[in-house]
Amino acid sequence: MQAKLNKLRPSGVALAVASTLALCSTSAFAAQSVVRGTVGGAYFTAPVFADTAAASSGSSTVASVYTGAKVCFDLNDNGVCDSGEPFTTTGADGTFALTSKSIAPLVAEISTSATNNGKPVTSRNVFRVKQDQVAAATVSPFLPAAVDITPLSTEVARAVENDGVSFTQAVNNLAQRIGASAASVLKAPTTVTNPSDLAAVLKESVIDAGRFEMAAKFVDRGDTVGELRGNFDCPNVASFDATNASACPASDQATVGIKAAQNWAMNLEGIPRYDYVFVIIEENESLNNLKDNADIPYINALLDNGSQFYNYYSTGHPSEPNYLALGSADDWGQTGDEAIPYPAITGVRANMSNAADAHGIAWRHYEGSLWPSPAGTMANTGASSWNAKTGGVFFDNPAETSIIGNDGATYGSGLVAKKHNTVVWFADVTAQPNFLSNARSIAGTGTDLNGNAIPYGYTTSTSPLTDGNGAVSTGNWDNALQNYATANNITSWWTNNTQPWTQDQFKLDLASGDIGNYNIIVPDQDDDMHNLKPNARADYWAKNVISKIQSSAIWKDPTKRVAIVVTFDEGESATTACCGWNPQRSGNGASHPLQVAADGTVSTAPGVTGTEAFNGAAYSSPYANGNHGHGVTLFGVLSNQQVLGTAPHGHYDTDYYSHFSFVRTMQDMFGLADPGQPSTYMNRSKYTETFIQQNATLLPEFANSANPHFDAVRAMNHVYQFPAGVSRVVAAGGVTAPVTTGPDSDQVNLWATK
Amino acid sequence: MKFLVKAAVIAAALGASAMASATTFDFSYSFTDGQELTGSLEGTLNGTTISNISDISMALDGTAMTGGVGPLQIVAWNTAKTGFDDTAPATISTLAAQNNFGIADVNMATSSASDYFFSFVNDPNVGGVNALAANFLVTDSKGNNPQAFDFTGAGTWKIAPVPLPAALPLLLSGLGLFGIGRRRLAQ
Repeated sequence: MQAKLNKLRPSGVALAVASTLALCSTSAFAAQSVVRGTVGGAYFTAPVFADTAAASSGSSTVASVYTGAKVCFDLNDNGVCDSGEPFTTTGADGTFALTSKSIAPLVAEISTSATNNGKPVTSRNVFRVKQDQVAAATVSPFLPAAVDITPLSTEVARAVENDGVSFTQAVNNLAQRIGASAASVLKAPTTVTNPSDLAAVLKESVIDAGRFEMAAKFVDRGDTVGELRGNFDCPNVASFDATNASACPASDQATVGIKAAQNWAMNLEGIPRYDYVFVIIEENESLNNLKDNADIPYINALLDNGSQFYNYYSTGHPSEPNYLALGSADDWGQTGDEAIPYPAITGVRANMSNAADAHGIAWRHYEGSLWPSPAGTMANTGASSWNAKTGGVFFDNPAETSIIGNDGATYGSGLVAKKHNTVVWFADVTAQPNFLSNARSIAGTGTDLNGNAIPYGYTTSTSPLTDGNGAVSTGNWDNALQNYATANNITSWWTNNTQPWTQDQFKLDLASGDIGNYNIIVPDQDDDMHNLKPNARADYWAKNVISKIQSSAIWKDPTKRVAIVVTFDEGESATTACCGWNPQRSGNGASHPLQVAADGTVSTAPGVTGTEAFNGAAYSSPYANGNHGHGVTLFGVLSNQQVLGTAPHGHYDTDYYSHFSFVRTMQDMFGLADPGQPSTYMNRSKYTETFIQQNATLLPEFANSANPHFDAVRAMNHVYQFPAGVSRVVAAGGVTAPVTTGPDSDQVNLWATK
Repeated sequence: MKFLVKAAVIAAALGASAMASATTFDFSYSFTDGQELTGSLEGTLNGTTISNISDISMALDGTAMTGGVGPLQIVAWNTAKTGFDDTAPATISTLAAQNNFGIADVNMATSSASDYFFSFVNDPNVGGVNALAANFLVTDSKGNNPQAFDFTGAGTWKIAPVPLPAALPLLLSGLGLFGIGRRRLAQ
């Protein structure tokens, strides 16, 4: 019944628009306007990161109002409260009233003298309201239109100006995208009463306010278009890359106003904001082994339908350094698998999980063939959640070394490899209160490409079935593990043991919409090609998992931007490095990543040292050996914007990227760093040409580089083109090789959404 | 005696005429931020309602609203239509909460291009109390047009008739004739 009522009930926006149109049709209202409302948003309390759960705390968000914000009618629609434009200042309750001879957009300039939720505003911000919103809320030009100025009203304004949609479409799209009613989207969060709507509006408010705060910085610093779109030849590296000095056109040298800056803030370095990203990390295959490999038809078809990066480099060998790099843009000095215990990277270290938490972005780490842990034996205390008895596999049961599935087979925990994990290494991540709820299960081996169930004991015909410990079954152990969990009444730690264990929580999360914005997906070691090489099983797994994503409501909703990434931790048998590494480097103290303090002081990050909790053994990772990378592997992207919309697909990018580039790209995509301030990018992902140049004395390993662009990190935005005649260093000893020069068949940004 | 009666009738008629014709009223709205809208108008009081309104003048914080599009005119707020409406004459109430009108240098039902205005509306459809005034022809020291708002009803509305100089002589002459008549009768 309620659903019927909802269908019959027009949105508040629609009503307002309709009433305005009705009034306009019967009278000659010209321009005068009165508005009243609230400058509101969210107050986000950032998490506290520490090595222990006791010293850590999660984030929180409350609806808030801004006091002392300057509100004006933006008569010339430039996003600025200029002299002569009617203005007022918000009161203690965040409200304002203002009238103007002419109807116009509204601007709220929130300076550092204003407060948010009673707390000082630390960085200037600008919120806006489109004139259409004022008009839609206007009943009479002599009575106040109720108009709140918020991060979401600003996002609507930005969308109208840049996405080719009407005001009403922009409101409805935003409402649909975040899962709130259109009426709630434009309200100050303090007045949103529906709990579900409020949660959605608050989350979006935190994200949008953070982006728009960055936009104000772009303007205040005089950032150029070149900087904002990720053209590292702008504005000041021509001397560093003299062969390509002409690559900074006049359009890239222009500075931006606040309206343009707010759109760049949603497209940092040309990387559009996405709502959901699923990053599938497989194992140990080079691009040449995978491209057009007949054993993995589904994966190849997926890549062909999407877009591909052809020079994507791993950053180390073996697995662990690469997963560390994928999770944090550094390998922390690790040159072996599980050479350090976990969570052994102590101190507050920048990584994707913490960066996401600090910006209100939800993250998840889904792992295949997680071993069901009997209720009560799984420690829920963050940093102590590994097997304290053996120091062994993550999330296993200290009392067991294996379990017997209902198929009679023995399942050791070796299917899950802690080395194949991007987050568990960081003490400050595992100590966060949300850690266990973010580490969840995923299954993918239920059926073959034709939808037929894979029987227990199933083996593929194309690959040896060993994992280094003898023959293994390639049966459907997802079902076996689930049956074991059910038979033993095992509960899941990600629900704080309040729900039964499910071997495929990923599927449930997709169905409920309770999914991360940033999702890392790691198959088990037989599904990810680690043990079995490119084969049908890996293809089945990929199809089953990706089909679940593509069957979900979030994928099918064009207002939500969803991307699936398929990549590998490393290639095979190549020590070539790129993008953040100089292959000439050898282990020395200078190879520590640089960290930049708030006052701009640059220093080298300390190495990782400590004592293993379970046996007291000392460990250290002093960056003594260093990594040189491990060749080119596959990186493909398929987005729902390609499938449902007009986003380009079938394109490729031959520029040079690495795991560090990927992390930089994710920081851009989720608004976690500021392109105009290189130090805000984590660890080695800040190593742009400019940063390397500015800190050359602290980065001797980059001295005498054959091509600084090749050695530098950049967002995966397809901006750069190598000029003719350049080469790159590909191995120690000054071995050089040519690079792909000039434009590709096109320079389409592979993340483009339209 | 005949003359006395005649004089008394004339005096009564003159007095009644003075009472029934347009009265001058002074009005003010004191906003809670200290700003004040003041003005005067001609009208006819009946109970708490003033009708036949004309000859309006207003000032916001002492600055007269002059030089606008045209003379100040009043229109009613129609709660049924949720809008200003010039199809029926506007009235003003001495009771603050009963008011639904707007005064501007344009017809507020058909034009929004005013240079100054005062809206005083009490209508749940538009959030209850809406008392607001603005003058776009002057600027304050910060470069803003003077404007005042009250959306809570916390401001103070006053309107009261003031003695009209034109009526007093009539009344006095009537009373004088009555006195003369009494005097003659006594003689």
